[in-house]
Amino acid sequence: MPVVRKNEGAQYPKQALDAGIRDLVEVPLVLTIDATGVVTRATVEKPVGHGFDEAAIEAAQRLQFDPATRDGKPVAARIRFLYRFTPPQAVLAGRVVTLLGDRPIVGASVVVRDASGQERATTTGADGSWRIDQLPGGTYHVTIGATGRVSHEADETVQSGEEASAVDRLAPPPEAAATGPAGAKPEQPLEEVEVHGEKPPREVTKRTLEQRELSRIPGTNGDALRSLQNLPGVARPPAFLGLLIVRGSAPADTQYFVDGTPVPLVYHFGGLSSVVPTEMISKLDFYPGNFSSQYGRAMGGIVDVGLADPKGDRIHAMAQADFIDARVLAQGPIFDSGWKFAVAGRRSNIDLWLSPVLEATSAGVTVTPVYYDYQAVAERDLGKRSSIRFALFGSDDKLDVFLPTASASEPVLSGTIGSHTGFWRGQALYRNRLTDETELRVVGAVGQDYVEFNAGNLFFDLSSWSISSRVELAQKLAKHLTMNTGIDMMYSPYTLSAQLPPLPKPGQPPSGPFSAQPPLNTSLSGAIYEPAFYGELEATPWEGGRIVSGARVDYTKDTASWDFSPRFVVRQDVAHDPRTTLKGGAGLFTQPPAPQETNAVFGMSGLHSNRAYHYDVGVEHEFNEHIDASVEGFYKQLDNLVEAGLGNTGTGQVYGAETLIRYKPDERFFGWIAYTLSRSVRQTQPGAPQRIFQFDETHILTVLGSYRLGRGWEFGMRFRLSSGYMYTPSAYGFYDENIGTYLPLSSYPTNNSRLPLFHALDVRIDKTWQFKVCSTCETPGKLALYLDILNVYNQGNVDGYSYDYNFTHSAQANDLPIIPSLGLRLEY
Amino acid sequence: MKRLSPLLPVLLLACAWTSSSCAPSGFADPTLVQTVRILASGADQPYAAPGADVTVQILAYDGRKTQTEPMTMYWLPFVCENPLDDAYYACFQQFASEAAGSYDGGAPRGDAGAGAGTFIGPGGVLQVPTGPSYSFHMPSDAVTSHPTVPGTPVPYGLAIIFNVACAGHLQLVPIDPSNQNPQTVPIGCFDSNGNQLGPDDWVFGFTRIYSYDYDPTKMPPTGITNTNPVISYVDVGGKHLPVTPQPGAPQVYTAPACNSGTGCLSMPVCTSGGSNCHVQMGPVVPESSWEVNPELSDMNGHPLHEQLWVDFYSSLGSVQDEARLLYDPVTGSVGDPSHTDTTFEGPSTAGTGNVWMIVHDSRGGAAWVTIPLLVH
Repeated sequence: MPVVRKNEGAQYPKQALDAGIRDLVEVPLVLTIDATGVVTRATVEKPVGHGFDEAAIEAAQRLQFDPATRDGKPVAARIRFLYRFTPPQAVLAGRVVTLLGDRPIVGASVVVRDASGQERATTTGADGSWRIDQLPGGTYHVTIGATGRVSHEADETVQSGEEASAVDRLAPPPEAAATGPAGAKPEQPLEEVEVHGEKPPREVTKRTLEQRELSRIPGTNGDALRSLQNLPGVARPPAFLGLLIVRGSAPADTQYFVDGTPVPLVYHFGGLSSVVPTEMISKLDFYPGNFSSQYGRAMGGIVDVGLADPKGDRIHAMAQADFIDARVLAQGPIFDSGWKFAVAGRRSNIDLWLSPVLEATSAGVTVTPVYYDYQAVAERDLGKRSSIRFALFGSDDKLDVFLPTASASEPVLSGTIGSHTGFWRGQALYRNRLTDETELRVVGAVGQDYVEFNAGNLFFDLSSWSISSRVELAQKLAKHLTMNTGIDMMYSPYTLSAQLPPLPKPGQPPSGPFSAQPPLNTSLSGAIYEPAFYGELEATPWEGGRIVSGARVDYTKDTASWDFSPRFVVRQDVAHDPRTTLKGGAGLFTQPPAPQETNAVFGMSGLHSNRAYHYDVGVEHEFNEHIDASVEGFYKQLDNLVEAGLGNTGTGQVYGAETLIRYKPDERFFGWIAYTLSRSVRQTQPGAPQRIFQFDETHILTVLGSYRLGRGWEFGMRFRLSSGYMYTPSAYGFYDENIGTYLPLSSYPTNNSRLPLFHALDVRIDKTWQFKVCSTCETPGKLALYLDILNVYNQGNVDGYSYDYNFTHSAQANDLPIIPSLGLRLEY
Repeated sequence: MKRLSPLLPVLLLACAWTSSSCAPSGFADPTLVQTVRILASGADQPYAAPGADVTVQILAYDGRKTQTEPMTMYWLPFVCENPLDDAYYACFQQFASEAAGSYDGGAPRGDAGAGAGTFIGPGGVLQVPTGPSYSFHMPSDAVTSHPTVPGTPVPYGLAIIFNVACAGHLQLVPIDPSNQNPQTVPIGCFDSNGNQLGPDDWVFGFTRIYSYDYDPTKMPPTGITNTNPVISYVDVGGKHLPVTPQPGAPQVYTAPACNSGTGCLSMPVCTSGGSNCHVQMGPVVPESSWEVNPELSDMNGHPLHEQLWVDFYSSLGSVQDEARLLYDPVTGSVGDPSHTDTTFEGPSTAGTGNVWMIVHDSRGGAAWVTIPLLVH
């Protein structure tokens, strides 16, 4: 019997690793060994594939034996030989640094615990780095602690043959933050909220804003969703209109989601605040174009708000009030049940001071604007791989006005005028990492939307149920290939009752005041049913490269039509340290006609979906750990646009470039410069004059920054400069004798003149104090006072023009004047 | 439902708010009539049945301090029947055709009635009817020829009558062929020297008369009709100022002249800070004028009424409100005169003039009263 003299072993085959195989594998061989002990032939007795057979044969041919003997003489022999392939070991490594400044922490303890509870430990070296190798592939609980620092725990999953590396930033104890002496480097616990310009790997680019940025941008009152309006590609909305105008698209072309569930609006009336407070947001994905196939029914942008996971360590509470609104938040564990909860609510304060002022000054005019929003979340982990969360959130805006003085130009807008809009959603979200390669995410929601409006004999009353669900499965097919597939369903039964004047024809002058035309009346019920299916392949075929190709199929019951939307994104790192990335994408995006457009009274039949082709190219560059920059060019070709009374006759183009130079937050400062150059045009139908889109802004410049002065003081400024909107000048025209008012001679085509340049400076000052809540409490409470001043130098920006009674004289209608907002925030 | 947007209510409310309360100061007072103005028009039948003869009265006033040529009220002698999308400016093409036919000596089209015919004289000067009223024949196919409008509870037709108050004469003006603006009007007002006059000297107006089938001979009458509002009297500082409907034009009321026994609106010159400067005034309209609007219903399916409001004008002094609501379509009367009157501030110099109050209903009905004013 031959005896093994030299065995170099066999490498676990790459093919198997690429296929995700990490098991102990045995390959039985039959070896022919000559009288010198050399393997002259090796055959696989029972093939197992995935490269193991070839690897075993190759290894066997390098085996050396002491030959078998017979009667003391070496002889050839045939033997069975079993090759065992042991999966390569995994490595966990990392670096521990200070939260701010990224200074290495020496001697920090690192404990890695596997699923069975077995632990391995090490400490960090001089550069803060640590490494634990010879680990089986799997999920490990990593605990990192250091003297004078808040310890950090996280779960890390690493595959056999792979090395997982992470940088952990440890914060100092809370009492060391916020009120440190001047000159010291105060640090705040990092609670990160992300705003993604476009989220890789499924979109072209990604931008991340941290919580400090979201809550400190001057002029936004600390509202996370209003911070979106400072990003490149987003136009400045007109005063009091809570609109998001993304890359020259109409506001209605952008869809809003909360954790994947569509919601009808994100801003309360006037755009003063959003329907989800910053404190309840964990991340905010914003896709200005070329977004993933998981999103559809929109051809502008996507905003997806992620509700924050409740904190589980103890009960936390927060209360805040200013002139705009007041809000409260509580969160924490529900006893020892494993559940965590968060509840929050907000009410506007505007009616408290506006109504008395108007009643005292406006001869009987009464206005009662009130808005609410609320959120409740309960969450529980179901083992290490899955979790479930229930959420209830909603918003309600109500506005009642009584105008005893009739409007001479539009008498229907007098007397009692009211509006009531809102929505609520009950949502269940289930996540399960089924295996290391498979992840399931299911979200379902039921809720209601409502819009009510009445003025004179006009009214609009829409009530609908919203039933939506999304099931997404992410499957890693190979090391460099992942597939995401999903079903996106929406069903919305509704009742509508409306009595409104005919909608104006696009690009045409109005045919007179509403009051002069017989209103149209409709009363109906029906259901919107829009199922969709999507799939994407993410490939990372070479270093620094990423290719995402996907497609989406949408069905629209209203139009009884299918839409197919292929999309493609590619990114390639062309340099490392500092990193430079080239990127690009192209895709087709469709948007069904709005319900009123297919309505038999206010719309028309035979419509198809609106369509947009998105093209992006760009480059990102990191200058250092704090400063990065990006430049993107975009082009959107719009067609099949629904035009009232005409059909899918509209077309348009949007093209431009946007750039962002950003200083990420450090211990003192954050800020950025965003600039967008663009043009957005529309054409109502072939042969009609091409006109510049109403919300087109050629130049949009935003410069902002915030600096911590020490002792709890922080000072920030924001400067905005942008082109004015398009408007339609009016001139002396006609006299409508039925109403008793002049009608203007509108210049043609519409929107052919631009308002003057807009510029404004906003300032925010924060002062934070800390106090001890109780003798046994570890975490101090915080009291913050802030002053957010909009339009500090009271620039009279032009938001439009007002005309005298016969349109022979005009005057500027100005945007918001200087508006200070003083607020108080108490947090524990 | 997706893409539910509060934008419409916000825009409408902003519009209402702006138009009532936030108008920038510095503009000329719209209620003070100091130029050539059309203030109102009213048909004897605000809703005219097809084939009916309709007479439209006009209220116009020349408030210019210097009147080189007198104001004349012109009527374009054609009935614009059911223009595209019910838009008044869609009539201009019809008018251009009429004018071209007139130039060619062509016959008037349809059964437009009075005045139609050759009305373009030498040099493009319009030779059209003039005067404070105009009669026409509502086309007999007014309702049947109107395109069906989904969402309209009752079929209707529309006739639009155009009139011009001009301190000179009317003349065709050439139109740049490249001008695609549908609102372009091929008519101008010119003085005797051939100068085209501006906004102080001319007004291009129009009035819509809707047509619904109505048969009063049946009991009860079938179809839809509308009557002009009635003005019972004018409240002046809590006192009744009687008004009288004009014979043959019941929607036109007059108040007593200043030399009459009952007295006109008389007040002393307003001195600075004086208590004699202001007086509350407004028309009183009976609830019977607040007619049910059978075409419309509220959210709950209940019939709605008309909306009634009053416009105020004066040739002296100033009026605080351009318009006041009298009846809300849902809630009805806004209240007694203390809730609907406006404040009139007398002038600081003596003189005579007029105050006008025009009551509109939301279905094209109108009635007005001219109140002589004496400031002593």
